[in-house]
Amino acid sequence: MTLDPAFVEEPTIEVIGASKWYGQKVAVSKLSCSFGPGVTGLLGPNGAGKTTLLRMISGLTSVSHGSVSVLGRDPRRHHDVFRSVTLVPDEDAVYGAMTGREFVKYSSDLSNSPTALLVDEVLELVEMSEPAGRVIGGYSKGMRQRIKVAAALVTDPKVLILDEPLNGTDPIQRGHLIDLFERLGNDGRTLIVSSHVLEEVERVSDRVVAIVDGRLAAAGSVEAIRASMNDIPYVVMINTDRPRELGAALFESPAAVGVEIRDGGLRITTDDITTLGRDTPRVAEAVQARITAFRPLDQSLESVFRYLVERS
Amino acid sequence: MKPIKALFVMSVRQALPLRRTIMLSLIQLAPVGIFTLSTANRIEEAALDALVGVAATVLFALTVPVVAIVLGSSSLGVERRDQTLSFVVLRPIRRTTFAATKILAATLAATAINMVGALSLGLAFTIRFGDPLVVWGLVVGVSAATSIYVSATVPLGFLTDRAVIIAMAFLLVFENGAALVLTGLATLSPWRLGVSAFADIVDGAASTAQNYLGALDISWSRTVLIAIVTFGLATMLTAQMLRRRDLA
Repeated sequence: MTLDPAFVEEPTIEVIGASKWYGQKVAVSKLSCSFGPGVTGLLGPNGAGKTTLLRMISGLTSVSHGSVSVLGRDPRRHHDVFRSVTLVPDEDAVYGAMTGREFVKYSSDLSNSPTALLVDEVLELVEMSEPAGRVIGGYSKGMRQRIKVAAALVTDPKVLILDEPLNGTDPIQRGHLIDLFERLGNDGRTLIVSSHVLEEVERVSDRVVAIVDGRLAAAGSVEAIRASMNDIPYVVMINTDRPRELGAALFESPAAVGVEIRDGGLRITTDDITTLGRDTPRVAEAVQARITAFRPLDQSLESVFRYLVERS
Repeated sequence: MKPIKALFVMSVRQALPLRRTIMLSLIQLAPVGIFTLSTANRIEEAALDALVGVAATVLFALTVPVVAIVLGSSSLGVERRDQTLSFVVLRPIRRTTFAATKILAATLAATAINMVGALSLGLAFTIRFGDPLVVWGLVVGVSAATSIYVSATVPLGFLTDRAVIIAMAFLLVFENGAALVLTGLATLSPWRLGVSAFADIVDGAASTAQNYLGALDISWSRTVLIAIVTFGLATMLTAQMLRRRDLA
């Protein structure tokens, strides 16, 4: 029997038909999926419902309909769940007047976990040992993100929920955090890492759950999601000095579904952007056209996801 | 106990940042200043009347509630505003324990500041006129009134950003306005409950104090009981809201 890609075999978190609405606004709609050990990327454009889903999983937000269970228990009813579950929220949920070390120690004391890690050890893990003696109020966004991760890790959680943890981090810090998440996932912990950037999620996790407009858009391996996205019809704008000649030649290419001359350029509709990208320079050379721009239009993550939702 | 201790210490620390502590403590010196100026040439009996008057109208009716309202409202209000509530709530701590700890910490912090007013006023009287019960009476009355105000404003601060304005409106319009005219409403006035406890403990203070108490009887034990009941109710209410409401 093939398992629905939205579900995993040994779930630590189960979301069954969960909906959340605020008055008339539906934030999450009949969402069903599960998460297990390892890193899962929660992908979706801004406003897709990622944060609401994570808040429902962590028990901060009630479920209007359906159910959410973490380690077999309802996080809204069983506060004991929080011995094993930690949320790193997107917002700056830090005490500006505390030093980084005090903040991580406070987190450790509040959780009183018997397996709590040493504060210094965790600070080292997120490379915050040096600035840990300074007050958090003076930290950059990236440092705040890392100190929040440290405060979560010190409790030695089995389930770690991270809402846009890479926001504000520089490429080096991002690389280190991604490596850290990978190691934690390999240790058998359940990590959910949300992001609106596909490339970020791709680096962090093997499995992706994508949501749009509060609905499940796609789930499964990154490769499977990518393959789905390759089928999407793209519109590409090409600026050239010989639009007529290039348009006529490109129309012969199997990658071009439609060709229009507009605003002095070419507007090509394609369902295989890779082939079109490969063919265009060759065709341009053949008709002696000079290309000054080649840019896909409407290639935002939102439009890609919307396509996936409409298709699902 | 470790999580509760950590939460308590942090809550007291949040309630008493240095600048705010200094400012509120200075406000607490107003009653002793007014008392000293108004009793320069008085004998003990007249001084006691002056003490009761200053204690009731300045200390109990103004400075004590202001401090308690500010600190009570900000206890959960600041955590909500700074979005740190999720950080502390998502811990293996019962909501009731969490609420009780926050209220207790805010009460302790507010009482510590209000003690500046109570002790300075009480000691100024005792040093000059020699009645140590005045200090004790002020300590009990101020502590009880502070506790009631804080207990009422902690859940209010969780509910709304306008908790301070609402509580100050209650103090100024209801307690210091309507309850003066409609004396039956005085029983719902926390600062009058504090004066009631103070007047019950200090010999000779009752007759003057009664002028400020309206329909409220003089009794320290009832005041303390109301403070304890209010604390319990506020704890349950806050815990229930933490359970039911979606948290920021």
